[in-house]
Amino acid sequence: MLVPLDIGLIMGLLLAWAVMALALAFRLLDFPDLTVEGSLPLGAAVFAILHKSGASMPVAMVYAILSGGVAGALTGFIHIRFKLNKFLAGIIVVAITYSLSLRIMGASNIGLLQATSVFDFVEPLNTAFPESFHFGTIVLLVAFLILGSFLILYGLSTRYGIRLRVAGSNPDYAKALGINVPMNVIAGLAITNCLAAFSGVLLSMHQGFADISMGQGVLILALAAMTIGERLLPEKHLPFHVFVLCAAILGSIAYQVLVAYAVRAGLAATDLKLATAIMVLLVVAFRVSRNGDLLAEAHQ
Amino acid sequence: MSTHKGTIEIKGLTVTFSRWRQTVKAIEGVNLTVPAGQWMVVVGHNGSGKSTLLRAISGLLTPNGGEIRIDGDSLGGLSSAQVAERVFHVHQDPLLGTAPTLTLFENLFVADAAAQNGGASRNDLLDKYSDLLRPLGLADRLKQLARYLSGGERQLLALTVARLRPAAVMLLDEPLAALDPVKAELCLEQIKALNDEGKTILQVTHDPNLAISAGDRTLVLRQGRFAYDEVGDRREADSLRKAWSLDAGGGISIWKK
Repeated sequence: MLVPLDIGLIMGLLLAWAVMALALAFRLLDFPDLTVEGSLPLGAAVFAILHKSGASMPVAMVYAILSGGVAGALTGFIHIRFKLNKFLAGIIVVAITYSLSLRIMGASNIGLLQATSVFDFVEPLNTAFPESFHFGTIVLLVAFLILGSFLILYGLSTRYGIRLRVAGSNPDYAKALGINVPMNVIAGLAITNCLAAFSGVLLSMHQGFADISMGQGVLILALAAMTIGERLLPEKHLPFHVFVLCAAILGSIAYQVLVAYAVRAGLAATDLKLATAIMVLLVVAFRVSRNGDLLAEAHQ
Repeated sequence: MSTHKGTIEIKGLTVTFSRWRQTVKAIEGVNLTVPAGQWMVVVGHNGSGKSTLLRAISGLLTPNGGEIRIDGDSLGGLSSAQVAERVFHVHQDPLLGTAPTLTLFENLFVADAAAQNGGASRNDLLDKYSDLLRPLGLADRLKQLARYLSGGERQLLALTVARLRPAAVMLLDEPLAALDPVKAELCLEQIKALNDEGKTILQVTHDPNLAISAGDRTLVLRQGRFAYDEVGDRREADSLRKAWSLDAGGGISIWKK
């Protein structure tokens, strides 16, 4: 009975970074950013190849995270410089990162089972508990998320963060205040895609390999997680950016635990995407009936 | 905040819009000087070029001809950040003038250049913003998101934002258009407060009655040109009506007795 909870919690905590990336870009920058699907495997690829070829784990992690940032900045740049639709800009960068990740890895996957990972440090804690529950892994991932959320929320509450949020919330108003909207969009997307790349790094460490298809399906699951999270959390009582961030984390965990139990109950893995899509639609439909104003229009 | 700044000089300003093969002249060779600290009301019909004039002065569109100078410096030579230090534009649509997903406090803080350069503590700022919002009945809502305000309240917030800007020129695009009489009165008080602080005001309106009662100077814009320009007590209804309503729908009286 505990096994699906264990799997769900760990996957939810690993992918929460990617969900945050999508949610922050979508809600705070008004940018439905598809790049996440490419920056996640790019981060994994860069980490795997650097770590495999001798770079220390922290160094490989830093470069991997930055590679995601570059992908995000590129999406923003393409959108602003060529006035290309936000979706199309994202699709182009996802295509670029796919080939790039393959080039970087030189193969469609790289094994990392012998390599050191952050999870090595908590292995003693894992073995202290029954085999079906990886307490150490969960504690470590929660600690990462708390630290990361704290940094993000602090950043968003500084004057630069407030300017960034104004640029996303109302570009006309931001312009009237002399805020450089394009630079803020590019910087914002760079930051959110760093988060997605970090998700890729953690996933590759946890699974013991980096794979080119890691990003597949991340968008729909992140959308589902975000939608569920925003349903679960009371919106009115939190500052908007705190709400968005907490909803992403909570939604990611809830969604993955749900999926883990659904698979245990007999849902075929092949039907997972369909089930996810239906779940998103149901949540959205239910939200509309409750007179929530959030998902349909972020701006009114 | 210096009170002598805020002079607008416009020479030969022309703005045209082309669509397909048709060219529409929105502003046609307009000359205008607004001295620092003056409150000028521009009145005209829909499509007379009022909003286009404001958009040109705030740098949101590039004119096809002529020159705009703010405090002697040509607008074309200023970066958008420099323009924002001299000119602040309050939009016609109250929803455009504030950031909906930020709190009232954050909306005011982001406009408050002085506060962002450091110094004041959060509590000082809370007091300062509460004082500004108190007459508008919004003082206890500083921690709410702006999107929970009504349209009229958001317009009041937008004008409060204007009071925190360093800019000496305030461009107000029909700030009272969507407001009930009480809110309109509060808004006018905010505009008066701005003017009392030494700001140059360029206020656009549809309402000829307001045009003659508010501000120091009234200008009628008709088909991209000035048809009337009078100051203070010399403004009177008959001549304004003539200038304003030559091409208006005949016989409809919109004038107060």
